[in-house]
Amino acid sequence: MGSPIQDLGRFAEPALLILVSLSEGPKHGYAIMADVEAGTGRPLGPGTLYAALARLEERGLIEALAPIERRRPYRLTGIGATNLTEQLKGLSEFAGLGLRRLRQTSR
Amino acid sequence: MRRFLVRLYPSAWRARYGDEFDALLAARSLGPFDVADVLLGAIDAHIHRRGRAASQNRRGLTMTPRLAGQAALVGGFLMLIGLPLLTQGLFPGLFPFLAGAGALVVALAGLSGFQSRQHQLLVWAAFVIPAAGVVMCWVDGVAMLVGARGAGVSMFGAGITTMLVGSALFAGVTYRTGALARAATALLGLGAGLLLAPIVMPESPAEMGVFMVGAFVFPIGWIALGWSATRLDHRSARAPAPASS
Repeated sequence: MGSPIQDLGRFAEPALLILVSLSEGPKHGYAIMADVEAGTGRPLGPGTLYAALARLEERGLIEALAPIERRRPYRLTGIGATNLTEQLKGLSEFAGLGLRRLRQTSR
Repeated sequence: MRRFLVRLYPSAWRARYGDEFDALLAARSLGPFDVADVLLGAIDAHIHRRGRAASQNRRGLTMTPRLAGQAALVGGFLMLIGLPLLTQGLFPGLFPFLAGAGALVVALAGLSGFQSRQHQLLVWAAFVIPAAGVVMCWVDGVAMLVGARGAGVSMFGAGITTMLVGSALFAGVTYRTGALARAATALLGLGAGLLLAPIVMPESPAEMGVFMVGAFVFPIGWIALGWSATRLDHRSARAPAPASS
């Protein structure tokens, strides 16, 4: 059984970006899009955003809060935070491995 | 254009996300990239039929760490009363002990399910063993309470031993996954070890003293684990107010 984030297939990357954005605190859809674009330099489309949000909500990794006007904020759940931590640790170890190999081959 | 794009999604999806999605589209000028992305999103929603029902069905899962944590808190407090009373004789402590053990099974189920993505077999073994011990205690304890048999301690004692061995295993696995506070899991493991020591070495002169320390540390370990689980679930709730665009 893989990580619930990796199990999202083509939505795994947008889901990870959304979870990282929500790790700062609850945000509604537009604020998530703006945060992801500011952080990565790449836009996150509204269709992709909501496809990923629906999957994350179904898996209990995020939860919806009461809407403010017509905007509904989402927040990271405890399970979401644990899974995000695992995922980021794995990515960090993988990045470290790649960098060590690059340093070895450049010697 | 915006309304048309929203209407491309299935009705169940619109019932759940339609209003906020419409507000999102209204807040930005839609370029060709956005339109294409929304079209793909609508196709995806039709294929996977996401919407209100699915999200409501899953809502309970987010509660698991909190409920399991609350069960661990209740179980720990009842054990804190029941375990020392068991040393005064079987019956005074039997009610809080059995009630506490029941609460701990609920906690074990929730906390094991919560961690089961890591070390899946180990986590489930760490649930099944203490749960089996609790069931043995319950069967024998209830039989004694209703007078179906005398206060023999063979099955009850075996149940307590199994529960303690399983709790120690559960503490070890939880320490390894790091999903909950490691200090709490260390306390639970230490408490289970202290309670097992007099069972393993019954003739030790310090038997009662070690048992009494264990009878305090073991429930405190469960209470600390329960507190850790409820804090984990509340962590997001304490986050700052929603950001504005």
